[in-house]
Amino acid sequence: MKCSRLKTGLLLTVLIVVTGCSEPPAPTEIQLALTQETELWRAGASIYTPESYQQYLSALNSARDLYTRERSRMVWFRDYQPIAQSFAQVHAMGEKMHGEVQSVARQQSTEIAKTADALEKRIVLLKELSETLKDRRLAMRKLTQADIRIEDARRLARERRSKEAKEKLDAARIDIDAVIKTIRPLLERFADRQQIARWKAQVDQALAESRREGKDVIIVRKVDRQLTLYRKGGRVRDFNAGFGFNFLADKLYSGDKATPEGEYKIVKKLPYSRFYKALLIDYPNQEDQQRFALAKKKKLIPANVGIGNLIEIHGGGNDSMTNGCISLQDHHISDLFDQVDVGTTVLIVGTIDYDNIIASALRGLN
Amino acid sequence: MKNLLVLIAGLALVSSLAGCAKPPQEEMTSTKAAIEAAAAEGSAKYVAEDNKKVNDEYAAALEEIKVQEAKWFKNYDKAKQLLAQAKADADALKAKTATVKEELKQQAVTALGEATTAVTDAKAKLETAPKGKGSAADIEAMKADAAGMEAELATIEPLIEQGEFVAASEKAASIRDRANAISTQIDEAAAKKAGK
Repeated sequence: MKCSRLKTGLLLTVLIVVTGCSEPPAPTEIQLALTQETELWRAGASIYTPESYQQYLSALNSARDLYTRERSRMVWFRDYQPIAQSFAQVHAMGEKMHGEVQSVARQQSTEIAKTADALEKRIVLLKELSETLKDRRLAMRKLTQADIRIEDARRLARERRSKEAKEKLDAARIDIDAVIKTIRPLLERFADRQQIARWKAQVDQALAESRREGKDVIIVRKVDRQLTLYRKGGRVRDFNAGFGFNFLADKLYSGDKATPEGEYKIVKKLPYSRFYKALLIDYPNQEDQQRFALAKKKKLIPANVGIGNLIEIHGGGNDSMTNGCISLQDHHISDLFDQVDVGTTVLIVGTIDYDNIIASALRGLN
Repeated sequence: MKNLLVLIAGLALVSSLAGCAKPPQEEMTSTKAAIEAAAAEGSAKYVAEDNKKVNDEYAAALEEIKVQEAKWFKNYDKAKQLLAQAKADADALKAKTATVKEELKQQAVTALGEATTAVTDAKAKLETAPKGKGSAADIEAMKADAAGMEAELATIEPLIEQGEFVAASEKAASIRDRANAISTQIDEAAAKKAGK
């Protein structure tokens, strides 16, 4: 009898031990928190909010440790209530951080897109300017490189590599700034209101003289790429014109590929020219010679160069690929050639328009 | 009485055996090594999602070991199962990483080849482009563009060497498209001229 009771007791003990080892279900808060951690990782929490994410992971690991400890205890002594609470707190922390991650991601993406847009706008402005002015220096290879880098930055931003995206944009900005720095001195005088006023006064004076004396005058406006023939102060005809490779500069010496600015006279008519027909002007005039002498004295130009000559208005097309001459299309030079005489005044100015394309582009670039 | 003694001895034996069960050290080491091998192949970079899954599996296995270590009656069977699963997945991860990496590399190399050809073609076309009235300056501008593309093309090979295959592919595609646009422009200009 005594033995039978002992056996029953031992069997009960074994049963309790065995059932005590079976795993009770984990609190649902645990799975929720673990799923959330994966979602936060996918959302880029480690990239956008690294500090908060570390705090979150630390809280999650503490909760997991608590759960591990609790699971080590015998089933009868386990209390999952505090564990569930811990995971619920972690979950709440993660929910808050999810909003923060989305907000930072949106902010960084907007910031990168805004910077990229602004840089692209400057490239477009420079390229448009280059296309309009036909000045090859504006279409620098650096602009294309900058454009490719901006595209790279946009891709990196999509891959949540904001830091690298910003570095690419910085590199693109340096390239664009270098281009602008190179061309700004050439462009600024076309936005200088005092300079434009001087050009305007020269044009007004030449037209008044043409009107007063009944003479022809040719006015050339570089920025507008226009050559206009006036007779007795009235406009006869406009021609699209091309200039030197370096036409934005005022000619200073031989080989600078610049088109001179100032008042000149037609000194010779050449019915047979390498460029169809040509009207030779009297560059260099007295003012050109003074500027050349001063530049030489100040060693601003190579010591062995001359002032240059043989500046003409000729045919051959108007695509600004001359060495400093003014070029027209063949049928245009033919028309002009027939209408003007030796001695006709040729006034070459930058622009008379205060709101010209260069001035407006410079405002955009600023 | 004799039966009782046998039962007590049996229970003592079972409990002592269970209490002395050792953590699956060998499995832990081999699983960790498999994960590290996948990581060395670049799993975090090329197959990030799968990489995280395997690391989470390994962490769960380690947690299970901790649980058992603190128990009086230790049972590492579940931990062993989890480790075996993590190791199998890590081995698969390594293989998948190698495949994905090779595919991406091939794509990048192909894209670089296409971009190089496109830039070379565009440059050749620019040299023989019809320089009619009004087009010479445009050709000069396009040449500047092509030079910029060529300069950026030189940055793609280093990207491939660094394993930045997606970046290399996308950059090469961008350069190829830009160079093709130049070629198309020249072809159109030539066709227009021929049609006159």
